[in-house]
Amino acid sequence: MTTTTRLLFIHALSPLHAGTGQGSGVIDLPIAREKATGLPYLPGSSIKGTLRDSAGLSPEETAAIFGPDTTNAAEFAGSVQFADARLLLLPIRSLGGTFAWVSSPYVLRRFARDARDAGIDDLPAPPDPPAETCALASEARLVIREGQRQMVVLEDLDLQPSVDTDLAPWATKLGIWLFPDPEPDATYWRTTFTERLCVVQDEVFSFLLNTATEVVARIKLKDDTKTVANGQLWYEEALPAESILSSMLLINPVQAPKRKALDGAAIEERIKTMIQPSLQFGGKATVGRGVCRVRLGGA
Amino acid sequence: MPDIQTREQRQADGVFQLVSRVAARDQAYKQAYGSMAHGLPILIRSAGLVQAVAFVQSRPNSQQPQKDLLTDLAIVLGYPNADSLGTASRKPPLASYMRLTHEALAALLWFKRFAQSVLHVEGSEGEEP
Amino acid sequence: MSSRRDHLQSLNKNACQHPGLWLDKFIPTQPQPQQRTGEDVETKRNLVTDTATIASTPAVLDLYRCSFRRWRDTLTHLADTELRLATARGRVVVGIGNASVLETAISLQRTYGIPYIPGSALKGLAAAYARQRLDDTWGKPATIYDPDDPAQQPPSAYELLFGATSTAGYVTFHDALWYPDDPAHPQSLAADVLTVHHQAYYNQGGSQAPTDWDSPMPIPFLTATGSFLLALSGPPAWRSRAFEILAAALDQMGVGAKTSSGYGRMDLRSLPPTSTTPCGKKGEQTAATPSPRTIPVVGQIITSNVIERNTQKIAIQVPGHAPEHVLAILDIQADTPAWQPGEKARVEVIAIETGEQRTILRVQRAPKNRKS
Repeated sequence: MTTTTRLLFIHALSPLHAGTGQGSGVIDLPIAREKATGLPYLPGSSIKGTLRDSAGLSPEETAAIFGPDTTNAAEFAGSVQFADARLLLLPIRSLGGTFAWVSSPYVLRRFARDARDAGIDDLPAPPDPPAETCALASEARLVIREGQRQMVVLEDLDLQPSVDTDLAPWATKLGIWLFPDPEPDATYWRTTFTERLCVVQDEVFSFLLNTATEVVARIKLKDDTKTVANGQLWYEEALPAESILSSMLLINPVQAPKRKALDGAAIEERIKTMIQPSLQFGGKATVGRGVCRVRLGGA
Repeated sequence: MPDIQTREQRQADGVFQLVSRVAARDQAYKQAYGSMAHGLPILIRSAGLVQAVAFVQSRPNSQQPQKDLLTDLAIVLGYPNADSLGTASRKPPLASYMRLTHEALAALLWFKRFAQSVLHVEGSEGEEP
Repeated sequence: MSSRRDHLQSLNKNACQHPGLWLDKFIPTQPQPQQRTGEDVETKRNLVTDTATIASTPAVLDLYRCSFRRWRDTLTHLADTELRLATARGRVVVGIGNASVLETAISLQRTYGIPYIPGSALKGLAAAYARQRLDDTWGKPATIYDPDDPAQQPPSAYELLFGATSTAGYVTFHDALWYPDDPAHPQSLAADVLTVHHQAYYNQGGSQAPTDWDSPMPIPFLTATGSFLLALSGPPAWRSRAFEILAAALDQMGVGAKTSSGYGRMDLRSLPPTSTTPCGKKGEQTAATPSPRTIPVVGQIITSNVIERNTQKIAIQVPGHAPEHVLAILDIQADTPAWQPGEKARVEVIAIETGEQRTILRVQRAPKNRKS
C-alpha cells in the first residue's frame, strides 16, 4: 500500500480562534499553543472533522475517505490522516507595506522537514538572521528609511533589514502553493507575498507570538438586563486574518469490506473539491471567526 | 529549574505584599486598582510597553489608584518608580525592551490573580463594544 | 514627555502604511497631567488626523482593495450566505472602549488597519433589538433552553437564531468589512471631536480605566464613514429573518457607541457588482510615478543595499523604491570598494535620469567625512 503525503495550508481570511488554551493568563480565552514551543496550532482532528462535515459526498465515499462515523469506529480506519496545523507565517503590522508575513528559522526548519516527507527536498536552509535584524526576500515594501538608517518596523520593534538570496526559493515555492494559478489575482498575491515575507530571530518571533496576536474585548452581558448593555469585559485571542498554518495530509487508501474503494489519486481529487472555496475552522463560528482558504502543496 | 521557580515565587510574594496593602483601602480604590491590573496587560499588548507606561503616568490625579498600580509594577520589576521604568522602556537595545515587556506581563499576571483573590475584582466593567 | 522608544522617536506619518499601528503605538508624547491643556488636544488631534490620512493613502488602499476583493469573492461562493451593503447615514464608531492610549478607540481590522464592524457587534445589536423591541416569539424567553433536560420547553426562535448557553445559533454574523469601491465614500476614517463633562464617571469609583474622560476639553477621536459589507450565513428562512431584524436595528437603534447622538445608523441595500480591474494594476501605476520629493536629490548621500554587481557597474537599491521604478547605478572606479550584493553601500547622487519606465540615479562612492 502506498502512502501519499501532501502539505496542507490553512490561510485565515477572518480571525481564527484556533483551539482553546488555558484561561489562566492575562487573556481570558486564549488560543491553543504547543506546550514545548508556544507555537499556535489547530489540531489535526479538528481539520478532519471540518472536512468530513463539509464534504457533500455520498455516505459511501465519506466513509471510504474518513472512516465510518464514530459509532462504527472499530469497523475500519479512514484513508486520510491530518497532522496538527502549526502556525507558519504570522501577519504582523508593519510601518512599511502595511503588514509582513513573519516566520522564524525554527519554524521554517520544521516546515522543511514536513516538506521533505512530501517529496520536496530542494528548499535551502532558512536564513538565520542575527539579533535585531530580519531577512527579507525583497526590500520593495517593508523597508522604511529614517535619515541614513534603513529599517523594518514591526509593531514597535525596529529591525535592520537584509535581503537573503536563500529566501527567494522559499517565497517562490510557498507563493505557488498558497496562490496557485488560475485563481483570481494569483500573480498579484505571489508578488505581495514575496514582498512581505520576513524572517526574524526565534526570540523575536516568540515575543511576537506572545504580544502581537489579535485580542478583542467582549462583553459578558448580565442575563437580567433588557436595556443596559454594561457588563464585565473579557478578552478573546485569535490569530489575525492572513495567518498561515501548515499541516500534512497523509492519504493511505484503506479497502473496507463491502465498501466502495477509492485509490489515492481519487481521494486527493475529492479533497481538492472539498476545500473549495473556503472552510471554517476553530471556535466562535457564529460571529464569523475562522473563515479560511485551504490549499494543498507537494512535489 | 529551581532557580527560576524561586525567582517567580519571590516575585509572586512581592506582588502579594503590595496588593495586600491595597486591601485596606476603600471599595472605589480597590475597584480602580484591581481593574487596572486586569486592563494594563491588554493595554501593553495593544499600545506597547513604552506607550502604556507613558499613558498611565500621564493620568490625572483623580486616577491615583491606576498610577499606584504602575508604581507597584515598577517596584516589582526592580525600579524605584514609574518614571525610571518609563525611561528604561525607551532605551535600546531591542532585546532589553522585549525582555522588559515580557517581565512586565509576567508580573501583571500575579497582579491580576491577587486582584481577583485578595481584592475580589473580577474584571473591568465596560460598555458593549 | 516622549512615549516612543528612542529609536523610533523621529518617525513621521509619511513612513507609515498601517493606520491601526500608527494609532496604537506611535503617539509621539503623552503630556503630563499639569499640561493637560491645548497641547494635549493638539497631540491627539494630530494623531487622529494622521491616522485618517494614512488610511486613505494609495499604498494602503490598493492592498486593502485586493484583500477585500478576495474576501467578497470567498463569501459569494460560501454556501447559504447572503451579502448586503450597509451605508452609514453619518458616522459610526464601534469599539470605543477598546484598550488604547487615546481615551476613545475604534475597531480597526488588525492586519489592514481599516475600520470594520465586528460580527459580534452586529449579532449583539440584532439580539438586543429582538429582546427589546420584538414580541415573545423573537424576544428572549424567561427560561433558558437546556437540551439535556427533557422537561424543558423547546428552544424559542430567539435561542435558535442567536444560540443559547449550550447551542450555537443558526445564523453566522460575519465581520462587516469596509467597502472600498463606493465612489461616494472614498474615505474610511474621519476625525471627530467629543466635548463632554464627564465628572460622573469618576464618581462611579474610577472603574472606567483606561476609558476615562475627566476634563471638559474637547477630545479628538476617530469615526468610520461609508459602506460596509454585511454577510450572514445560515438556512434561508432564518437568514432573511436575521437580515430583517438587523436592518431594523441599524435603522432605529444604530450600531456601536454614541447612538443617542445619532451615530451608527445605517441603511441596507443590495451589493453592486464587483469591479473587474485586476489587482495590482492601480498600485503599479502609483508606484511608477513616485512623488518627486521622495527621490533623493543630487548631492544627497544614501546608504543602501547592493542588488547586483558586474565588472563595470553596481546596481544599488534606492530606499523606499522598487528597483523596477527607481534604481541607483555606480560605475566601478579604481577606488570602488568590493561591495557585494546584499552589502550596504554609502554613495552620493551625482545625476538623475528620469525615464518613462524608470528613474536612474547615477551615484559615486560617498566622500568619507560628509553627512547628507
